Amino acid sequence: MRGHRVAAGTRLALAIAVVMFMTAMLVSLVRLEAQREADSRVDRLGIWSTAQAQTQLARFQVAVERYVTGAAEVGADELVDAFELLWSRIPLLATKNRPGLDVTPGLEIASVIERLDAVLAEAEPDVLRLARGGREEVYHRVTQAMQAVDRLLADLNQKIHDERLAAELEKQIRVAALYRGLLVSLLALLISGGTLIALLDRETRRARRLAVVADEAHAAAAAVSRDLQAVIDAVPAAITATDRQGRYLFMNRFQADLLGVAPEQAVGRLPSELGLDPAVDAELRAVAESGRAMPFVEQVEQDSSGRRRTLLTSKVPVRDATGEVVRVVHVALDITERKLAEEQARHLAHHDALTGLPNRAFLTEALHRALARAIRSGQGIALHLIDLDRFKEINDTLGHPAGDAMLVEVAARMACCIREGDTLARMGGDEFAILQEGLLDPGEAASMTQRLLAALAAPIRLAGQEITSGASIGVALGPADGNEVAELIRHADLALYRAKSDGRNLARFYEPAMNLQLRDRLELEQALRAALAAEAFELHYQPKYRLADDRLVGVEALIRWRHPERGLVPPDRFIALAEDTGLIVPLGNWVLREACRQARRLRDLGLHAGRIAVNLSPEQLRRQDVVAAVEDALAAADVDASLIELELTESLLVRDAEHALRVMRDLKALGVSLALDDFGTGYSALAYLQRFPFDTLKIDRGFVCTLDEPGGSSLRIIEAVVRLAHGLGLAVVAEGVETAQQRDTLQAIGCDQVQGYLYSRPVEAPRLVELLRGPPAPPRGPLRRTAALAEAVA
Amino acid sequence: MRVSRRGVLAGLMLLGLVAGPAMAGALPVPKGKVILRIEGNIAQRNAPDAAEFDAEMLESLGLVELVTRTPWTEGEVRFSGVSPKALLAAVGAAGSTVDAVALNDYRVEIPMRDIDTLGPLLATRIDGRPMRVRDKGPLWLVYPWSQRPELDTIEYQSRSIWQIKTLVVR
Repeated sequence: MRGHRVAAGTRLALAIAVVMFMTAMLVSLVRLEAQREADSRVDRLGIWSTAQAQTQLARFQVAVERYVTGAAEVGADELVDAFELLWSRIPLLATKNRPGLDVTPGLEIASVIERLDAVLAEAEPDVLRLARGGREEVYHRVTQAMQAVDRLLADLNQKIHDERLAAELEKQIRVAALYRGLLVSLLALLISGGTLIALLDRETRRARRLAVVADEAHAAAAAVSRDLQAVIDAVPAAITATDRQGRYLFMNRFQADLLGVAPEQAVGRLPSELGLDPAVDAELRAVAESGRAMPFVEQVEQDSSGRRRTLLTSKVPVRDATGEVVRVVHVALDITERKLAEEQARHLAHHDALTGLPNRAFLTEALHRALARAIRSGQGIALHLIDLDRFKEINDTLGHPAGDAMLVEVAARMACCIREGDTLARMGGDEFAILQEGLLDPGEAASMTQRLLAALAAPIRLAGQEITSGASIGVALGPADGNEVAELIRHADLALYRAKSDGRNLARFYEPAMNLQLRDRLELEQALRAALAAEAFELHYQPKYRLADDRLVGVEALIRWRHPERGLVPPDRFIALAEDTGLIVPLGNWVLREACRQARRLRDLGLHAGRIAVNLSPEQLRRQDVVAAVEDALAAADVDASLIELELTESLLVRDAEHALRVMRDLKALGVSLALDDFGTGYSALAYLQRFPFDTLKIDRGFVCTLDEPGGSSLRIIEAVVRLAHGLGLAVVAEGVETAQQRDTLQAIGCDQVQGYLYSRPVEAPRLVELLRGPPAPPRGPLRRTAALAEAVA
Repeated sequence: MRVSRRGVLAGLMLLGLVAGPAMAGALPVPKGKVILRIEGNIAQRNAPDAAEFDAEMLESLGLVELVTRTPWTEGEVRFSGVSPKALLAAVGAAGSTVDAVALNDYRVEIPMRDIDTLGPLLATRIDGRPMRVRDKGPLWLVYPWSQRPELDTIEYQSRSIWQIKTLVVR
C-alpha cells in the first residue's frame, strides 16, 4: 500500500517535471524562431541601400551636363524625367516604406529624408527653369542643390549604417533574453527535479515512520514468542516436539534445514514421512509410552544436501499437570565438525602430511600388534627400513619442493610393491618403513627388497631433470631378530646402516654382528670428539707441480687422524661422520688454522711453497660464518691471505647459489684464492665458472685416469674445459696424475698444474720442507714414478 | 525651343477624357507625350515596331478604380488606371509573358496569367490625380493586395513595377 502510494506520487511528480520541462523547451523554441525571423529582417537592412538614389542622382547630374552642353539625346523632357526619377527614390529611402520591414526608422534618418525632400522641392523650380532654357546661374543652383543631395545621401548612408549597428545590438539583447529564457527553463527543470526528490524523500520518511510504528506494535505483541523462536532457531541444535504418536508439533530452523523442509510443513507429520529412519518414529513412541528419557546417543544421518552429519541426540518426555506424557522433545546437537576435526587429528597423529602415509607412531602401533600376532601364529613378519641414497643432496641442490616431490613419487612407487596387509609408513625425512606380515619364509622378505630396489632405481623426473636416487634397505625379521618393537626397529636400523656403508643401493638383513659395527660407529664418534679436544690430527700435503717447468708451485692440505689404536685413519672414514654430527665445524677450523700456521712456518724458514689449499666442506658454509673463521685463522697465524687457497665443490654452489656467491666474494675480499674442486664429478655446469669468482679449476681424477683409454672422451672433455677455463682466466689443475703419458697429454692440452703419485704422494710437513729445499725440478720419466711407488709402498 | 510641359499635359488629358470612348477598336496615333510603348507579339501597332500611347489614349480604354494598400504606401490608396488585360487585348497581344521596363531600365517578367486572373491595375492616377514620375508614375502595375492578401510576397512585390515606360509581349 505504502509502496503503491509512493509510486503514484513519483509518477505524478515525474509527469509534472516532464510537462514543465517540455513547456520550457517549447517557449525557448518559439522565441528562437521569433529571433530567427527578426534576424532575417534586420539582415535586409544590409541589402537595402541608398545606391539606387545615388545612381539616379548621378544620372540626373549627367543629364543636366548634357542638356546644358546641348547634347541631342537629352531634351527638356528627359531632363525633367531624370529629376522626377531622382525624386521618386527619396520616399523609398524611408524605412517604413521598405518592403516587409515594419521597423520604424530612427528619427535621424527621417529628418535626413525630409531634408532631401526639401532640397529637391527647392531645386524643382530651377530644374524646370533650366529645362525651359534657364541661364548660367540657374544651372549653378541646380548643381549646388545636387551636391547637397549627394552630401545628404552620404549622410543617410552613415545613418543607415548606424541603424544597422543599433539593430545588431538589439539582436544581441534579444539573444541574451533568449538565454535568460533558457536559464529560466533550466531553473524550472531544477525546481521540478528538486520537487521530485523532496516528494520521494517525504514518502520514504513516511514509509519508514509507518514501518517503525507497525514493528513496534508487532514487537509488543509477539516479543516473547519471537525471542524464544529466535533462540531456538539460532541454537546449533535440532529441536523438535512431537505428540504421543510421534507427529511433529514444532520444528526449529536447524532441524528443518537438516531435512530440507519448511518448519510449518513438518507439523502433523511423522519423522519417517520426512525421510527419517522409521526407527525414530518407534523411539519417540517408546519414550512417550515409557515416560523415560533416552540418553544422548551419537547418530549419523544424511542431511538434505547428502552430507553425512553426526548428531548427538536425546529424546525427553514432557508431562502435563496431571503427570501424563503429552509430548516428546527431541534435541540433537550437530557434532559433525567436531567429529571431523577429531578424525583429522587422529589421522594427523598417525599419518605423514606430505605423502599421506602412516607415520612412525602408527607403524610402531601396527608393529606392536603384528609382533603379538606373529608370536601367536608362528608366522613371521619383516620390518624394512628404506633410506633414499641421494635425498639430502637432491633436497639441497634442487630445493625442498623438488625434495618433497621426490618423496611423494618414491612413496607411490613403494606402495606398488607391497601386498594387502602390509603397511608402508614414512618414518621421517627420507626414511620409510614397510611392515610385511604373514611371512612363511624369509625369502618373501628378500623378494620384497628386490622389488623395492628395482622400483627405486628407476630415474625420477624432478624439476626438469632425470634423477637417479636409489635406496638402501635394512631388514629385520620378527620375532627372530627381536620380539620387542624397539629392538626390531633398532636391528633394522643397523642393517640399513650396513647397507649404506656397503655401498648403497642395496639391501642388508640384520645379523647379530651388526651390533658390533654400531658400537664401532658410536666409538668412532666419541673418539673423534676426543681427538678434536686433543688435536690428534695432522695435515699432510699433496704437492702441485707446474707442468711448464715441473716446479712445486703449491700444496693441498689433507687431514689425517692419528688414532691411538687404529693408527692413521683416512678422511673418508670420519669426514662423513663429522659432517653428520656437526663436528666438521671445529674440525674444519682446526684445518684452517693449521694450514695457516704451516704457511707461516714455511715462510719463516724462507721456503716458498706457493699456496696451501684447504678443502671447505659445504657443511662448514652451512653451519658457520666461514668468512670469519678464515679471517681468524689468517690473523692468528699472521699470514698473508694470498698464501691460502680454498677448495670448494660444486654441490656447494647449487644448493644456495646466492649465499655461496656472497660468501665467495667475501672470501675473495680477504685475499684468499678460490679453487673449484672435483670438477667433472657433479653437475659440471660450466656456467658456474663464469658466475663464481674462481681462480683455479681442478679436474677430477676420474677424467685423468681414463685419459689414456683408447677411444675415450676424457681427452676431448679436458681439452674443452682447459680452453674454457683459460678463456675465463682460470688456472687448470689435473688431479690424480699417475703416468708420464697422462702428464704428457695434459701438458700438450695446455693444463697448467698437476698433482698425483707420478710426482709425489701426500707428504708430512717435515718431508714437505725437504722437498722444498731439494732440487727444484724432479726428474722426469719412469725413475720418478718408481720413486713415488716405492714411497707409497713404504 | 522649350514649352511649358504642364500646360501641354493638362490639355491632352482633358482631350482624352472627352474623346476616349469614341476611339475604341482603332489604334490612333498619340497626340501627346508618349508614356507607354507596347512591343513584341502584338497585332495592332501605330509605330514601326510598337503600339505607342499617350496618357489620353490609355485612359480612353476605360478608367478602372482599385482601392488597396501597398507595401510602399500608408493605409489604403485609391488608384485609377486601365486594366492591363484590356490594354493588351486592345493591341492584340498574344504570348505568355509580358516584360515590363521602367524609366530607370528596371525590368521584370510578368506572367500573362497574373494579368488574366489576378486583376492587377495599370494605374495612372492616385487619389484621382495623375501620377508624376516622382510619385512612381506615370504607370504603376498595382496588385490588389487588400483583396488578395496572399499576393503580399516578395515575388508579387517585385512584379509591381512602377515608372513603366515599355511593355514587351512574348
